[in-house]
Amino acid sequence: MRRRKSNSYVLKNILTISLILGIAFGIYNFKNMLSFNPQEIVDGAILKKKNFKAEIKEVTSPKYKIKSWLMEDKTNPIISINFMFDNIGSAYDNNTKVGLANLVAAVITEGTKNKTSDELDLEMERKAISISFDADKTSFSGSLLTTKKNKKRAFEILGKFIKDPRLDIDDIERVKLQFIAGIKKQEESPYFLANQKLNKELFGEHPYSRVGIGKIESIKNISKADIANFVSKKLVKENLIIGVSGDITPEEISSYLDRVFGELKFKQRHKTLPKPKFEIENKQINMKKNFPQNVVMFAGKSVKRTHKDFYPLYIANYILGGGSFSSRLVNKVREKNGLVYSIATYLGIEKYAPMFNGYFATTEDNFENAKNITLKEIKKIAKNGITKKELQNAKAFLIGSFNLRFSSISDISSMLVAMQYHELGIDFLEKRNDMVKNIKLDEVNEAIKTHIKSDELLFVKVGNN
Amino acid sequence: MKKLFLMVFLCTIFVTNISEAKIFNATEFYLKNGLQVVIIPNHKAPIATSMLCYKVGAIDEESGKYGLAHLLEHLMFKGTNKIKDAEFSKIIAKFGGVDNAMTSYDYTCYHQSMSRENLELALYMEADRMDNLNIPDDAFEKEKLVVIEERFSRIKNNPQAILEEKKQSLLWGNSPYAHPISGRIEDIKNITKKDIMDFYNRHYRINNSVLVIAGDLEVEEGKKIANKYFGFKENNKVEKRRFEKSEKGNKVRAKIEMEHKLIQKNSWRRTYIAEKNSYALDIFSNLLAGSSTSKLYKKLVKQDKLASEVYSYYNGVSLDGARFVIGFTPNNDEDTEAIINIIDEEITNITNNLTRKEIEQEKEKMISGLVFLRDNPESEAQNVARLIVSGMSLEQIESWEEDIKKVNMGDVKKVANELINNASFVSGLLMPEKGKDK
Repeated sequence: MRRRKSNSYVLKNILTISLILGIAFGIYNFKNMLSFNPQEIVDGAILKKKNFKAEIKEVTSPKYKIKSWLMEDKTNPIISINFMFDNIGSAYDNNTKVGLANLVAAVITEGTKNKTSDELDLEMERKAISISFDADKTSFSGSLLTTKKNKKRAFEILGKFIKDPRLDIDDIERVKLQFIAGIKKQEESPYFLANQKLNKELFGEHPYSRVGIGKIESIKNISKADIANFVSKKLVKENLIIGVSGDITPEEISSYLDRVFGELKFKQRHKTLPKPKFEIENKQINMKKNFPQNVVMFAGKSVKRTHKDFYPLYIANYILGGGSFSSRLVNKVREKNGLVYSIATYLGIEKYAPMFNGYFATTEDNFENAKNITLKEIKKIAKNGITKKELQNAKAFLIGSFNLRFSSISDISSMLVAMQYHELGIDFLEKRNDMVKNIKLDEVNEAIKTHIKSDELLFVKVGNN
Repeated sequence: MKKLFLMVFLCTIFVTNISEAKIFNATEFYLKNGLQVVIIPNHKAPIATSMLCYKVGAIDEESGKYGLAHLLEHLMFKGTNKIKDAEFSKIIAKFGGVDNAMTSYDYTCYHQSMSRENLELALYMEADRMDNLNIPDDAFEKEKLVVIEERFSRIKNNPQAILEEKKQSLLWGNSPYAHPISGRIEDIKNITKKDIMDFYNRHYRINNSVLVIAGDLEVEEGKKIANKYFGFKENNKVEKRRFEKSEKGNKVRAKIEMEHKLIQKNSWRRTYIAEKNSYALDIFSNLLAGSSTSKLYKKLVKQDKLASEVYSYYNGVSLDGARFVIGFTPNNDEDTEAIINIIDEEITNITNNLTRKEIEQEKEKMISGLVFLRDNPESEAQNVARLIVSGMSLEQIESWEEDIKKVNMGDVKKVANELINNASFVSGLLMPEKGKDK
């Protein structure tokens, strides 16, 4: 910016004034610098806290008494429903037909009795109705997302998929080809390979060690009858859990529940799964593959989601490696030493194989160093626990970020399913923040001592070593 | 009481009328210093997301310093005169927030999602690091190593990404879109703190940025907080960007074939340089292979069962790097060449035989789900901010539905023919190493 010329007297005055102002500003700045206090900024904020109550209702359908949890949200005219059939996931597939649960999840949406998959896909796209299914190790799940305008048709289609899918041979054969391509392609991922190796080592011959989408041979073995049998015998009310969110009333959803799920059988002939026995051997397995950066995964034991020590451990894990940039591992391995881009730990909440898991990726030159620091941090936390300050910060995050769970209706409906699956109770969301608040330092450190075993960790390293 | 009721009623009508035409129902304004602000009220929960984007990215880097914009993005978390020791994300977390950042060719964005009452802390800190970045030497050196490990994770461990970089370099020639965002390892090693600070001082300016806030706040509140935390800053001269000076290269039509030990199956992908912001190309890509009801998917996956997947997409919102992509994975690697031939034939066939009905159908599909864009405030902020710094105006974003409706068959035919006959492209075929046991 240009300034007009001024005579020296004015200039001098201006200089003096600006000098004084400059010093004053300097002091102000200096004070400000010393006194940066986040709490003060929040206290002086224009946006004030608003109370928010996430209300969950349990809805029971009038005719068939199907239960669902519902969180209404009328912000937008859209509806999301998630549901899960427990105990029929890929680990329950027959040994010669591994991949069945996932294959069913893929073909069940290919058309209905009176519409081919082409016709139905087109209709759903035009109406912005999306329905998808998925299988994990233990369960078979589905989800529906629709606009309010098309809800009636959306629920009607969902009901047809579950009760009476079309199952054209042509569609089945195509999806099988897609699975076979996928089975080969997944081996291109170092994370897949590391995870697979880890599961093999941990679970041995137990079905938990298998790849969910099966092997080429087992996919070829699956017939239309197998798929039809799965649908009619395994999709039953006994193990059904449902969560709904969005712009729909309890009355409306309960009548849809009857129509979609009502006529399913109640019980399946149970196929039980032996409980996985897994011992963690303290060792490192190297898998030589041509990846220029090693991917490392590790696993130890943990506790079930409903165990009394779960939350204390959850906090411990947040501090060790779960809390992104606030975690000790990111701080030490990444920020202080520049050895990795990603490193994290998490608690696996699989019901029968609860685990403490972690991963990092690092080039060969950095590997020993990265592993040693990681182990050192795990040993340190196992031995000395966490500090009061760390506990405070972890609680502040867990409580302060709670409302972010409600940012999308599909997040909400899937959370409602998870809450029921882990038997957390319908009032869980109301109690949860107090529960976190009340956790004591001793409880966390006690839980760490009991459950985090730094000398019972299995490492798998995939890379060019 | 009655009066209040009436006002609320009027407001409701007003709001409803607008939202019929607009996608996000966002409000835009400028501060005196030139900061562009967009507020997107979404009251589903007492949370909000702030997204601050600078109009600078990998296209603004100079040769020999590739990767600088991305490295700077990392270093923005390393401290200011006020906030020392990489505390930025830790402070955000203590107040229940989650934060991150992203670098693209056209822009660099920083975002935080927080409870409503804590959002201003994020704004305060964002405004602070706009001017007061202060990177400790040790953190600078260590972060370069982190960025190199990131490049290994994203590119070097992924043969598909390696091939994409080769394609890109050939396709874009002298354009600033030719080099990878994550840079070159030698370049990253050579970047000095002075390079970083020069770049920062040149580009991280109030009137070179856009602030988008979505969530539980009113427009008036948005105006107040934007002014409170950013209003005092002075605007600066912003220089012309590199892409504005770059020349278009010669037409390229080429293919690259690459074998790789880690690859188990063939995959093929062709990238075209395309016209930017073309709704007609959006429609064409959806019609071609945008979903399971598209022409190529029906032919190659469903009818002939030659491919396990075929897809196309159009990344049209870009300052100067719009691209159109078609790709597939064969069921049997031996069929690869045959499938490429079918695709080339079919694209021409489809273009020559377009019908009005097909076009209308695609438009309907694209429009029917727009309401889902209003669901999540975090994605609202991200979507709107990224579109704006890639060159779209808020008006264009909001009138997307009407503008899509205006596209006719002639428009689609024209852009499709241009793509088929004139656009530059490079095809990439990735294959397992020959003679390898499978």
